[in-house]
This record gives sequence, C-alpha cells and structure tokens, in this order.
Amino acid sequence: MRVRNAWRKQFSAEKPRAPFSFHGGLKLDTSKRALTRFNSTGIKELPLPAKLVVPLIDYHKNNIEPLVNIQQTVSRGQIIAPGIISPAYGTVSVIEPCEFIHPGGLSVNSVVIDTHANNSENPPVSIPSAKAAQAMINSFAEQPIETLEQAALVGLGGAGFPTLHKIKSANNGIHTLIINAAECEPEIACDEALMLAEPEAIALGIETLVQLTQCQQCIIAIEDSKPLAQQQLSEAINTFDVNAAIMTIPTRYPTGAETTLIEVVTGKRLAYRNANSPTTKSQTTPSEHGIVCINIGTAHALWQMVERNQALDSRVVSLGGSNMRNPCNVRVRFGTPVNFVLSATDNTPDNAHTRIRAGGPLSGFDLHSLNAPITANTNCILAEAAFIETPAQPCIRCGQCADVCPVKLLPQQLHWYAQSEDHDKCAQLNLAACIECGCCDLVCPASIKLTETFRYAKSTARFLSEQNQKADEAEQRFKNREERLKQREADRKAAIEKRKQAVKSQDKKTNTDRIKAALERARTKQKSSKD
Amino acid sequence: MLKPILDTQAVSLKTLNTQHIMLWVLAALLPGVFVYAWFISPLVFFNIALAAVLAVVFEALALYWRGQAIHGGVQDGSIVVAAVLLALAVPPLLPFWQLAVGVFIMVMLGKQVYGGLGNNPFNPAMVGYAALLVSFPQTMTLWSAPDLLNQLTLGHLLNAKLSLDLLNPNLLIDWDGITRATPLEHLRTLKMQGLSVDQNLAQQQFISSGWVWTNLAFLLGGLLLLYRRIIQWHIPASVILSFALCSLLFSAQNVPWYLSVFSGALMLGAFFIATDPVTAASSNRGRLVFGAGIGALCFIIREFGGYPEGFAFAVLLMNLCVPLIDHIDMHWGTSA
Repeated sequence: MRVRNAWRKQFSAEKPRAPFSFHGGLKLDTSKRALTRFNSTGIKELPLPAKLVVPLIDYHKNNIEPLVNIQQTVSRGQIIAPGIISPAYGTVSVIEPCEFIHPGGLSVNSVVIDTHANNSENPPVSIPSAKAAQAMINSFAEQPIETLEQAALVGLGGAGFPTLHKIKSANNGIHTLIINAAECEPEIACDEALMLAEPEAIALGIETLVQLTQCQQCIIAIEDSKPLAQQQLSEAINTFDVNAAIMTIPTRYPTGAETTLIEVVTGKRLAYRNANSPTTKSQTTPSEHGIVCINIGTAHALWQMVERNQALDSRVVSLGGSNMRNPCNVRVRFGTPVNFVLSATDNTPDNAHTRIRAGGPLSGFDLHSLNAPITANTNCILAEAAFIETPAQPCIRCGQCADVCPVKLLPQQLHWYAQSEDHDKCAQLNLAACIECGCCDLVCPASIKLTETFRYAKSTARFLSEQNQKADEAEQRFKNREERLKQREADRKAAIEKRKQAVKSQDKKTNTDRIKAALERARTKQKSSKD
Repeated sequence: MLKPILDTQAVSLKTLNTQHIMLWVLAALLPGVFVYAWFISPLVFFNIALAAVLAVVFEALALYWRGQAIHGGVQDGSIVVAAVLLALAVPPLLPFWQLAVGVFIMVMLGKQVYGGLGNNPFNPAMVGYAALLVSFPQTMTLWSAPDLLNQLTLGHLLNAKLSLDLLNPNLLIDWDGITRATPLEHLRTLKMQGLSVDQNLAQQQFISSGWVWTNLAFLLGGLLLLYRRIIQWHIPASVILSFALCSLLFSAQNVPWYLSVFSGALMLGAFFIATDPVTAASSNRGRLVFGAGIGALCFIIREFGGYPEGFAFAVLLMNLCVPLIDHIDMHWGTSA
C-alpha cells in the first residue's frame, strides 16, 4: 500500500495532461437533445416483464449451445449458456429462434424465461465507508481473475466485447486503463444519467478495475458537455481516494469510439500489423499496446459484483428521439422486449409512421420488430419521424469524407472499390479499420450511403475470407491425405522389397549352406569310401 | 417501410450538397467575371449566357438519350459551372456558333460519353476549349483590345459575333485596328523574332492590359472558396508555386515571375479549373503532385510549346496521369 500511495502522490502532483486531438470528426449539435432536458428525472426502474428472451449469441454473433432444458427452473445469475446468465428467477418455457436486435431483423436461438412473481426487487446499491469499501475491493482483487466469469461482464458501450477477455488478452500487462465516459452521439445519455445518479458506485468500480488490472495509470475521459456529471464523479473519486485522474475531452463525434478515445487520451494511433501485405494486414488491438478501454457502465456493474455478487443482468437505456413522448433513462433487465420498455414508460408509438431505432442516430438502425429484447449492447432506443430518403447523386470526389474520417481512410475510393466488389483493393485501403461512425455519410454532398456500403463490403469480405480459409483447410486436408496415401504406398512397397531382399539373401545363404553341406557330405562319403 | 442504418435526419448538422457547392463556385467567379468584362470585353456576359443555356439544353438532351432522370442530372449545376469556365477561357469575340460547337463537345465528349457527373476523366471545359483551339486557331487567338474598342459600338461587335464568318469583309471591321495580341502572345512573337524584351516595357504592358487585375480578381474568388472550404489549398498552391518556381529558374523572357503568375489564365485555372475534384487526384499528397505537374507543364507549353497559353493542355495531360498518381499514392500508404 505504501508504494501505491507514493505513486499516487506523484500522479496527482502531475498536472492533468491536455487531451490529444484526432483527425476529422464532427462537431454535432447536441442542443436539441431530448435527454439533456430530462436528465433531472434520474434513472427509472422498470418492472420485470412476465417473459424474458435471452438470445444465445456471443460477441462474434455466433450461436452458442444452451446449458439448460425446457421446464428447468433457473435462478437469477445462473449460467444458462457459456458466457450468458439468466437475468431473473424463473422457468425456461421454450428454447426457439426469436427476433433480436439486428439491422437485418434476423432471428436467433433464444432461451425464453417465464419470470416468477416472487422475484426480488433490485435494491439500490449500498455505499459502504471508504475503509470498508477498500477492504472489500482488496479481498475481491485477491481472488483469481477467472471468478469474474460469473459476472458475465461485457462492455456496455454498444459493442458488447467481453471484459474479462479484454483484460486477459493484455499479455504484457496493462499500463493504461481508460474509463470511457464520453458519449459522443446526440440522444444517448445513459452514461451521463448513471454518473449523476450513482457516482460512488462508479468510483468504487473503477478502483476495483485499477486493482484488478494492476495498471500504472487510470484515466477517466469525460466530454466537456457534461460538467455536472464530471463534478459528481470527481467528488466521489476524492471521497474514496480512487487512483484515477479525470480528463476533460472536447465534445466531438466520435470521441467515444475506442480507437479515437485511445488517440485522444494517449496520443497513440493503433498501428497496423503486417502493414506491407494487403492480405494479412490487420489492426492491432489496444490490449497488445497495454491499453484497456472500459465503459463507465461496466465499472458500475463490476461494483455490483463486488458488493453483492450480482452478475451483469441489467443496464441503463436512454429513450429519446424527436417522437418519444416521455424521454427518460430507464434501468432495464436484459431480455425485456422493446415494446414492454416503451409501454411501461408510456412511449408506445401512437402512429404507424414512427420509426423505432436501436442505438444512436448514427450508430443505430431501425428495428424490424418491437418484440426484440434489450441486450447489453442496447444503449439507446429512439423514436423518430418517418424517413424521407434523399436519392444519392454521383460522387464528385470532393474529398470531404476523407477530411472527416477519424481513422484516416479514403471513403470515396473505398466506396468505388466496394461497389465493384474489389475486395483486395478494399483491404489495401484498410476497409477493416473503418469504425462505421457515419461521419462520411453526414458530410457527403451527394448523400451517398457510404457506411452502408462499407458494412456490406466488410461482411462480404469476412464471409469470403472464411470461405477461403475453409477452402484452404480442405485443400490442406486433401494434400495431407494424398501425402499419407503416397507414404503408405511407399511404405508398403518398401516392406515388400525388404521382405523380398530378405528372402533372397536368406535363399542365397541357404543355397551356399546346402552346397557346403552337400560338399561336406560328399567329402565325408569319399573319406568313408576311402577308408 | 424503409430501414435506414444511418439516420441523417436525426442529427443536426449543416452540410452542403452538390448544388450548393456549384452555386458557391459560381458566386466566387463573379468578381473575376466583372473585372474581365471591365478590362477585356463586356461580351463575356453574352458568351456566359449563351454557353450556360446551351450546356443545360445539351445536358438535358444527353440525359434523355441515356434514359436518365433529366431534372436530377441538370439541377446539380455542375454543367453550368463548366459552361461558365469555357466561356471565360475563349476569346470574347469568338463567333457564337463556334462557342456552341465547343459547348456541345464539352457536354457530349467531355462529360456524358463517360457516364455523366463523377465519371469523366478529363475536365469537360478544357476538353471543349482544346477542341476549339485546334479546330479554329484563327478566331481562338483573336483578342480584342479594350482600349481600342471605343471606335465601335458594342452592338456592332455583337453583330459581328453573330455572323458566321468573323473575318467577312462585309462586316466593315478593321480587325487589325481593334485587336491586339495578349501580352503572352506579344512576348511569344518577340521571342520568335529573336528580340529581347525590355523589362519595364513588359511590366507596363502586362499591367495596362488588364490581365493582371483579372487574375487578381480570380485569386480573390479562389480565396473565398478556400475560406468556405469548398476547395482545399493543395492544388492551387502547388500549381502556383511550381509555375512560379519554373519561371524563376528557367524563364528566358525578361518578365519577372510575379507578373507571369498573374498572366494568362493562371489564377482562373489554379483555383477553378484544376480544382475540379472529379478529375483531380484523390488524396492530398496526390493533389500536390497533380498541381505541381500542371504548373510545370503550363510553364513548359508557354515557354517552348506552340501555343501562347498552355493551361488547358497542362490540365488535360495531368488528368491523364491521375489514375497513375492515385495508384502510386495508394501503394505508398494511405495517409491523407
């Protein structure tokens, strides 16, 4: 503890470093945000619906097998599939394909849980004294990190990457822990609401993360548009003496994206691996650089795990958009269908023209069905007016897209090659590095849907590379088999040859022996006849 | 129901569309056009109007033939900008039907044969200009001298312009009396005769001819475009710098580099013609190379070529190199 304290002094003595900048980006108008006006209402607790739907997919959208059966009773926090827990106490009524939140409106195998009436309420997080909290955190940090698996922690920023995997994949240790409290998209305010409502729990969650990762420095990045939230959090950090520094960063979309936030905080751009080879080029992950970026909601969920051993089974969702009657932030249990969330907050769309979207106006998409359940990735539900489509005009190569691209791509060139399905050229131009922020779409004077083309091209490229890999594997298998057969044939021939040789040599041997024996016999005969 | 991925309506952000960009370019051309009309010839207004109307008609016709939406294709305004640039590039006295031929070639062979806006490899206005220059060399180099025009009324000239043959003796115009070589042509003739130019005289001639002022006005318009971020600095800066550097180092003529930079069509070309994004290189690094190539080629054609002004050919030649520049640039990495 003494060493840590010494370091802490040194750290706090240092002036808070100014944030770095990043290429491109956009200053979006956040003044019309519905939720800035309604944040004073805090976070509403949503009642538990009678039915919860838990999609059985992992981060890579691969299906996973359930570990429970139909009619089985599950408790809250029980693992029902690898990496997935039951969000409530209830009975598994059916396991069948259900719609989930997906831009294409796909269905996926899901566990449907009928919740029991006597479910325990979600008590508010209790905040112990600083000393007690430190003791709790110390004892938690002493456990092996694998115990975190029970918490089913995933990033609550929108991508839903498993947190444990993030921490574990940093082989060379973690020197910088970045806590992402920057919500750059207008309309999303769930993190801000959480910071205003429960800053102490967040501060303690951050301290737990610092202890778990053994990082050298921890920086909390908050946008300058949330001064009140920043003040609340900074007070909580002082109260509990958390080893973290707050950095105020300019509000510029998309600072909240992982790659851009790392650039803003550390000034580092994630390098490319195999930069000279277009086929194997890929971006390095933050963990390889000893940097881990964790959302503020995830830190809050971690404190729930420390304090009452409660796994991550709910999240704060922002309800916003121009057609949302009662914009608010609600805490929603995972698996709750979107239409339940809307009806419970008196937001059921009153006309057919209202579009319900999942995610922010830039990163989100329209929902095909309101039966889709809320998951850890759903940070926002928007109700927007009917969409008026502006037809795309031809590209005049003005280059504004390249000027705003935060990852320094050439969107118009990429668009050209993506349309002609030239995947090699796309890979050469680093299509995989695109973070799909949508800045290029917003500035394009010809209203070309660039991001949509890129999403499609990326998924096609992924599909093709998987196919190629499969074909390569099959080819390798075939070659191995050929090799094996050839070897076997050669072995067989060699064995025959060997035996032949053996027989021959044996024959030779026996022949000479026989001749010798015959001669011997003849000699003895002669001798005996002479005698 | 449509399912947009990106809800651009839900985000408030002021952005320009293609039409706005073209309108800004036209607005930025205005100071140059007025100074041109004042010093060189007011007939330029007639040329601009004629070229613009014909360009829109031809464009609509081409879109109709191609089975495209006529309204959507014409309303972006790109063809009007190209028409104005062509009208500014040709001599004001060019007969109307020759200008019409130029506009036709510009729309059809410069733009529509490739598939319309965004697909043409060459700058359409410069395609039209080059076609006119090689087809009608006599009238394309006939520049009226503004201070000598007083002898004739504007109506008189317009009448001449509308006639089929400018040099028809029935027009009773003494062309030798009212036309004069542009400073660049003058220099060229002197050079071919093996005479050297007195520097002071050359300077006086350059300034009095009004071309310097016209160029300054186009520079002003170009700076407006830069300020409005319609164009980036890379192309104009590299065109002007490379041209200035070439004339500073290699010019055999006695004209100081700072005057030759403001002569001919250099400012109009550097800010309005070379910056056409469709036919320029796509990355900033590529644009620097593209602009430098134009500046150098323009100098080479002026100094050693067969034409007094070489901007059009310089642009067309560098348009040819754009795919190569983009390709090399991509292999050197993609930093913009």
